[in-house]
Amino acid sequence: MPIMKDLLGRTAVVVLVILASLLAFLPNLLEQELVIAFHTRLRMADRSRVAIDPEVIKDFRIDRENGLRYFFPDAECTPEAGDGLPETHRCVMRGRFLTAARVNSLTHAFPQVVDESFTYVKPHAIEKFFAILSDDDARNLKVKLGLDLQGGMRAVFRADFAGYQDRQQEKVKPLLEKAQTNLEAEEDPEKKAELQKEVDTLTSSLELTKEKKLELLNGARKVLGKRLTDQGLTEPEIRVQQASYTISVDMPGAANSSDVLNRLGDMIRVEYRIVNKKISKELMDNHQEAVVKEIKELRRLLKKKRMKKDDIDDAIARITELSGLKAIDGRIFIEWAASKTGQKAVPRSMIVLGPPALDGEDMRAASVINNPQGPGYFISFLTSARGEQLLGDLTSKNIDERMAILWGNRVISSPTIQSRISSSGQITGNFSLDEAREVASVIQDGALPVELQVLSVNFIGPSLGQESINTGIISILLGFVVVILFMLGYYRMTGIVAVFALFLNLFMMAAIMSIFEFTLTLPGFAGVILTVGMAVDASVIIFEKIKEDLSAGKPASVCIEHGFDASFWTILDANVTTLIAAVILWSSGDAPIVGFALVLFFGLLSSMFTALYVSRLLFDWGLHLLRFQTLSIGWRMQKKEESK
Amino acid sequence: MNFSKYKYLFLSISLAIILALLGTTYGYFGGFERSIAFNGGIRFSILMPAGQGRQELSQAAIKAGFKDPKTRQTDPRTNSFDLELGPDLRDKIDADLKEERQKKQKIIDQLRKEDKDIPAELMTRQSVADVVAEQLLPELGVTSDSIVSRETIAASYGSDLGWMAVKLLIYTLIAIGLYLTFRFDFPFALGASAALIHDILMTIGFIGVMQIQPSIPVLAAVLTIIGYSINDTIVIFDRIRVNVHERQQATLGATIDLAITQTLSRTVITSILTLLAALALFMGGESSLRDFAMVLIFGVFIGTYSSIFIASNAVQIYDSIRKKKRAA
Repeated sequence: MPIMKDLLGRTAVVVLVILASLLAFLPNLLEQELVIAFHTRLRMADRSRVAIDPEVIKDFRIDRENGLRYFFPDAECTPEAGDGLPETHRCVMRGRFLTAARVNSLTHAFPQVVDESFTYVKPHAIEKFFAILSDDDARNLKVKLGLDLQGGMRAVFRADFAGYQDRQQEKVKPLLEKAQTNLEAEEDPEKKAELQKEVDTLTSSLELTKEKKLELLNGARKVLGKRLTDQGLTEPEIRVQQASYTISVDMPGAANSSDVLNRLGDMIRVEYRIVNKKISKELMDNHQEAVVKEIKELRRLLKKKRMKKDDIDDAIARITELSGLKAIDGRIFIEWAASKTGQKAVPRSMIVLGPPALDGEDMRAASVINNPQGPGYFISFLTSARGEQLLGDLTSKNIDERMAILWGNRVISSPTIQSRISSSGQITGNFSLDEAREVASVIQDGALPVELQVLSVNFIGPSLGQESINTGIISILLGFVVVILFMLGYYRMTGIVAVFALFLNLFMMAAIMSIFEFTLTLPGFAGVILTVGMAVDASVIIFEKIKEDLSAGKPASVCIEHGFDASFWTILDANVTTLIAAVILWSSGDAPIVGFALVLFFGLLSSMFTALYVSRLLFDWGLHLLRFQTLSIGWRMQKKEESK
Repeated sequence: MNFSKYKYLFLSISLAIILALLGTTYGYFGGFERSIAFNGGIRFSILMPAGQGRQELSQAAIKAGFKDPKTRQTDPRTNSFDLELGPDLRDKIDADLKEERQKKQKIIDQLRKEDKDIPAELMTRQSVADVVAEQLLPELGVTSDSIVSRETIAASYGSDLGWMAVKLLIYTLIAIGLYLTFRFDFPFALGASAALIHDILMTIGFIGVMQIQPSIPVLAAVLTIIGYSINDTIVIFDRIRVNVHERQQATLGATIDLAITQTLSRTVITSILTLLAALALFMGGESSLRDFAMVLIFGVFIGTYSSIFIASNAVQIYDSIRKKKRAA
């Protein structure tokens, strides 16, 4: 029978969707493995290192008062070697609900013992399966609980104003000197006033007033918010603390926080600097024993898998001091180049560079371009009005010199300038697609205006008390139950179809929120339930249409078909307009609104699917499989039938 | 039923209500209520004595005369807690301190003139956090050593959020307007926009008059209302479109009335369902949910009202103006 075949096909689609949703939501409930790594050495205050005794770790693992069991009372951590760590310094634990917040509370309570960078929750097999959705080898499928329900982490960042001033000096000094000489040479009073103005603005840009500091902090706050949202950390709370010139960032359920924090506070920016060829060569040819030794040490540090930024900075500072490099000649940077296999960039050599000549602020409209000559990507950009002048000057004066392109502290390439360029440029280097996108986004969104250093990191509890959470959740569920009872009471048997659609909708939403690592706050939860509840509107539209036809005396099968067909465009138009609103809200890029838009968008899609596709299938089942002739669709209809 | 007869009356009533709401907000309350999320405040980190927790901290803060204290645990092992207080308190103390400082300065100037020694207490300067701590400590029964840090905090969402919202709203209106012009006709785009702006202004006025603290949940409620309002309006418009095709002789007013009557049962059922769910949240009493629910309940009423009395009437008014122009 063709009808049966059609029904079967549609049933298969619905079953597939249910299974896929189940798969995406399941990792929230299943047992997972937590890997806990311990430090092998302890860094003392005087920078010396002391090895940690395995016995200490063994004791820590079973300590219920002041150790692992305090945080995970009922799980045993079995020693297991891996990640380059021996059995004595690593263990694996199995458990449910291993949320990032719990892991963080452990790592931040014992930073001296637990090595955070190698402590992680192993991705579940399902999460590995969903890797197609992610750039990594697994997609995290967890619904996170928000700051109000579970708390999270608070990191306090201090702005490095000294570093900002150094940079400002390095950048503005040459311009200021040039302007001052121009001013002295100028005779025309009108032009003189203009130059004086320029000198004044440049001088004032070197000053760091209270207002300027707060302005920088506020700029940093915005960039932080954007970066957190980009990493899927929605619903953070970021505040400038005016009295101490710090920024506090509250993050719900941030996993592997040190990694996140480093990336957050990193003022990675794009820069052009001219290579000081003579001094660079002198440095590499320096055969002083002390310098050679330090260079060797630096090489060793750079080769390590787990690079410590502080150690590298220290080593560079020592080399600068020993080799007698003067500030006027430039600063030492490390040049990175493709490894022999051409896969990854590795640190190659040291290079001395002059002051920054052009940076991301002078660039705009960055786009990622596939390198036609080989593997990898590069970034092409247009320059701003100021950038055009700077780049033109720079390239025309330095033909045959090498120009270094920096990404953060790394020199990623240093091509020789062949001719004058001004209105556009390229950032070459052996980028992967992700890296290239990151560089482009920093140019587009702007770098942090001032470098941020992590001052403190600590765990914070939920902002709502347990009692409020309980009453809140009860009232949300109560609202949901009331909607269900109303539908069943009002539409009788047909109401079951709507309620089934409602639950499937909720289920799909849970899966979608897992996939997007949605942060669930109490009001967010209420909003989701309410959106799902409002989605019964589609069912109401269809049912009311069917009722209208039934009261005109048409047979049930005709009414159902007409009811769905006539309602299709109504529901589509109503939903598409709301979808448009969701997309526009999404594009705003501001953290709290983006989260809302995301849920709204997918909630609308899934409610359209359940109302138009799934409930129609259920009706057809009733008509063709169960052979219902009449429809139980509510009291008003029955009364009419009785009176007939 | 005759919904479109008194079209100008409904429009005027709505306009009057909006003006009254906004007028009361600014005239009587002096603006919108402020919140820690949007206006900042003061934050203390306090080591509580063993056995005491957030409840004791909240109670102490209320006893000390501070409204709406927000508390949370920050370190279970040292039993430390955060206490956050709102912007009103901060600004009030700030103003008091400024006044006091000026008074002191006057005395100091006077003493200087008379060449007398200035007592040390006149030279000390108190910060806002100091004043709060002074009032809080006796109620808490701890010493000032227990206050680990005191900070004035800025808003976690800047003033730019408001402007961005306006910008987003305009984009949304344009995009939805284009879609409705394409799917229906230009007057319908106009009607839907009128209803949407009506609902948003009403809701903002309601938030102002009820002095609801702006927060992210409240913002989410406003956004939900936008979705609800559009949905409601389109369902009626769709019926009008069908009816126009089926009954070409009828006047637009009659067609609209018929469409509203036909969709009335659906409008009522959906509104009741949403109201019931929102009411449960409101009765639950959890404060962040209560604000959310309150705005939503108002929004559902307004959204239903506007799709029946504003959106369709705007279509009709535009239509009659167009006809008059054509006739002239």
